[in-house]
Amino acid sequence: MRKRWTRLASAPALVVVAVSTALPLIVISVQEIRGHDIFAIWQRPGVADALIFSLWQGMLSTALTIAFGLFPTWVLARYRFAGRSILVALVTVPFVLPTIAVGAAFLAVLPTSLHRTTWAILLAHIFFNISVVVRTVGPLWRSVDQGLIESAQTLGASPAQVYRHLLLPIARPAIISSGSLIFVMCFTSYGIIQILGGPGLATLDIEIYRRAVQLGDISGATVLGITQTLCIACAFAWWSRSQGAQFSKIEDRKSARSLNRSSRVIVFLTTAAFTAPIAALIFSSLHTRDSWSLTGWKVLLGLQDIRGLSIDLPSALATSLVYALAATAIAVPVGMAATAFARRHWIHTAVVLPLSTSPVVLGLAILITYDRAPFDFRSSRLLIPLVHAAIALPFVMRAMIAIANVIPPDLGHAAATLGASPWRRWLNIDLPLLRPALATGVAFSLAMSLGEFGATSFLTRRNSSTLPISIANLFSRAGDIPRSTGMAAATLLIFITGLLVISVDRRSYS
Amino acid sequence: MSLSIRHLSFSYNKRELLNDFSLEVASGQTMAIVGPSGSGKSTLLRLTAGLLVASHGEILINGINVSATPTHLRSVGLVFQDNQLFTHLNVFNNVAFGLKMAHQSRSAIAARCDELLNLVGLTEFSQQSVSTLSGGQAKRVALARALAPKPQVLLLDEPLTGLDDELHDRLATDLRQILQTSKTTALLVTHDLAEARTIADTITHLQ
Amino acid sequence: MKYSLAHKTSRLVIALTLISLTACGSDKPNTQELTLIAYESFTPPVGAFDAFTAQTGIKVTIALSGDAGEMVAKASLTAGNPEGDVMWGVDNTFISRATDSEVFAGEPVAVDYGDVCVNYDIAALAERGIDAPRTLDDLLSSRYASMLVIENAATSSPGLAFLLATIAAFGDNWPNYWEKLINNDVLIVDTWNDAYYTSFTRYGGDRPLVVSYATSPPAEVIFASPPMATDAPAPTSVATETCFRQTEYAGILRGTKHPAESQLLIDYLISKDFQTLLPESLFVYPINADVELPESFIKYAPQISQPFTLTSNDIATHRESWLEQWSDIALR
Repeated sequence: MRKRWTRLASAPALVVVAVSTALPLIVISVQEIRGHDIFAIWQRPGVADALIFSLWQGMLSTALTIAFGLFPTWVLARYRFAGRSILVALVTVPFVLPTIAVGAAFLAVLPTSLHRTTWAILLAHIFFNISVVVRTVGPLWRSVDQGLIESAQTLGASPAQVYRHLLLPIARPAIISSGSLIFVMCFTSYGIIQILGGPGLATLDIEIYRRAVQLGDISGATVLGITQTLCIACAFAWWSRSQGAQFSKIEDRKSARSLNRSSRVIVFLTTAAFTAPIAALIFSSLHTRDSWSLTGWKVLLGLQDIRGLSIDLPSALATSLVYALAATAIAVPVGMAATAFARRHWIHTAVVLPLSTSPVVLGLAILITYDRAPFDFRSSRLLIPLVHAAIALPFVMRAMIAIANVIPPDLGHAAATLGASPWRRWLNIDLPLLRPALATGVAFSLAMSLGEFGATSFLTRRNSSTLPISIANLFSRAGDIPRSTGMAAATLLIFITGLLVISVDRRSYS
Repeated sequence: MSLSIRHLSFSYNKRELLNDFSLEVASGQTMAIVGPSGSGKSTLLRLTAGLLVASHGEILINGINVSATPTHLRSVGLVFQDNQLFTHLNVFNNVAFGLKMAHQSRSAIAARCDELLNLVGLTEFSQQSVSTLSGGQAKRVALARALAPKPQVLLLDEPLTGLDDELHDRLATDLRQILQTSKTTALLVTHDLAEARTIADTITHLQ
Repeated sequence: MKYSLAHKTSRLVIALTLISLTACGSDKPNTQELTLIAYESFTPPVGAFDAFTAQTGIKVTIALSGDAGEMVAKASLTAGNPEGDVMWGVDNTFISRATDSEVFAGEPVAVDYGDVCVNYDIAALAERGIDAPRTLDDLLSSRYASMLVIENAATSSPGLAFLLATIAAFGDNWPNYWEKLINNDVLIVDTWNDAYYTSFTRYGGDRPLVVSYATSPPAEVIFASPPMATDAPAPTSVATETCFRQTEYAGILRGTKHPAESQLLIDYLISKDFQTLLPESLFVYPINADVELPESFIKYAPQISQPFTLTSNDIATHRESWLEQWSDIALR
């Protein structure tokens, strides 16, 4: 009786994936791939190298991000200190910013000797993706009973052993789940590799762009695009299999402890690492030619008119916000329904399809799939929020599954014996317990939509520029004012995103 | 408010946990099922509550077959061995939970909760977080929560296990009194014969 | 109290859904409206099409479609069933791909042009006591060792233009030129933004020579902050014999339901009214010879009398092999 219902709950998620990605990919494969390209494309210079580079730098970046990310995650989850929620927002912000803005800022604070090296890429990937660890593993560690740690200590466990034998195993599902997402982000990395890696290093995503756009080889690009999607789907399926549900007592303890010496060092380092590039960005927006100037901000806010530099901030901002809200309104309920009722692993593999697909291939695929009435959605205004929602979906679901797995099933049983229907059980038990994860989901999908610059810059947009696209346009002009205005716009995007994240966190943690 | 269990069988992973089991509890009576761990006592309670589905047999409450009724419509209360209090709700809201599910009015909920908190002696803890309660207090909240919606049958799964001796004995007496006062039909499973004797009117042994 | 939070959350979700639904109402095209598809950086001044609407009663909606290459890739795939009526801004490195895939109804018309050239930072060269380069051969001189930054020809439009300039200049001998250029420690980066704003000396980098546009010097003046003195020369200039000419085209998309109205729009795009707006908004030269150039262009933009060119057919035929050969020399 309950089974049919739970299958229905994951249906919206599958529809989003099918409409936004799966169907278009099938259509483009059938229509555009020429049979001999499936093998011949790998003989072209640079193509196989791009796949290999994507794979190894993706794996290494993921491992490093988790290794470094667990330190701030622990401190942010377990300690109470002034500015904690600001720090959480601060580490989330880079994840969602257009790389063109933060990449430049990052480059500015990076020692010159590291410019255009693999090290620069790895460091940037850590910097950009650390928030996935903080936000996925954090809620789990937050719920660990202090008594559990204390009892391990009384059994003679050193801090390192507590970490190794207690905290790490507890966080395992969340670590695996965030790791798999970070792998996708790094495997498909585009802007970071371009800005920080230089032209000698190309991921598969860059090679796909090059083939489709520069060479007009849609067939070859599609083969590479499908390969990328399959590679990531396989990695994901394998990861999901190794992820067992774990049950432990969930207690929403307020992190009561104040900082000790080592955690203070971690807070300091994290703050410094994440403030420096943003500070560099703010500095560039206010400083040109050895003097301070507000011109960039004035132009951005429409207080000063510069001939030949038209930027319609209110409209770009409004467009960005409406897309972000709409994408969140799709992604969060859809993702929540799928996680709360259907804990089947293959659904988690399915929802990562949109994120793992090359934006170029996805854009072209959508274009040729929905091009006939009554399905001519190519330039429909719903398309962009739908694609944003599809991209945010795995983040929403991963954040929730980590928590959903530790809610003891007997809690729901207890509610059932008290007369709660499945719907009320979800509303009154699961939903409140999922609140931190819900907040994470909302924050991620708002932010991903606000900063998204891949697939949607590829889709045709009528009369509406988003904030990231305006920033890119400003940076494509020569001159001090376009540059400082672009820096100001990037700063503004950071603050809007940061405020959104902070306000969502407030709701969930207070 | 009688409970009849007829020819109930249940197996899990090909292991037979219950085989053709029957019992009758008369209205307002408390029956204890006593048996060693692994004898299928908890399974019997979960079957009665509808959290598990039997392979054979039927369950009747007040003469009505509820075997196919989903848990939340069965009107059975269940006190879990480890309480399963809702940690995101305070004491009052834990007790009020079932009443809210039944869409009772605010004032009715407040009155009933007061009555029950008074019955279990926790009136002044009403607004406290359940994670601050002691073992005995938590057990009382679990009991009050299960009793609040006036279930036709109350199921108690090792309700006093894990409490210290003094608390155990005091709660056992209290429980007996609460069940009698509220005239509840109850089924108690325990491994402790003395406890069963204190609380229950009749005792059945399960091998 | 906790319940109300859960309810608040669900109310928030419902509100968000409503907002998204109202925001996503479909817009029906009507006959008095044309869609002009353009690349992302197409930013004419606000009200640029008001005169057209006043004359004809037709409204113009601009639809932005990624960068120029993406726009052509998309147009080729949707040839015959286009996303709009008129397309602006296919340059001569892409135009034959577009015409080969029959994107346009009829011949596209040239609408503007510009040159990609080596720019130099006047102050930085003076500081080093070096004369400015003038020709492609000059760039091989050891005087300019480690001074030039260029864009990746495989991913960047000015990068490709510079490669094409060398191919036009040296013919089949171009790989030889590039080997020498690489040996002179030229820096290759992926994007124009990276070259100009990170590596170029004017913005704090260490390379006084950069591949950019011939109109970058007037932009440096117009957009200088703090503003420059009225008679001061531009801070950067151009090596006039290193330039490749890019011409941009506009055309009626095959399959449009409004061919007659689209022709009116094309006429407007090359009219004096519209062309006058181009120099100081897109930083390109108008194709319409009747248009007077603004003062900033006359004063600060060098006229490139003999830019290098290649036929768009030539570019389309050899593009892949040139880029592969170039990548072998320059990137590996």
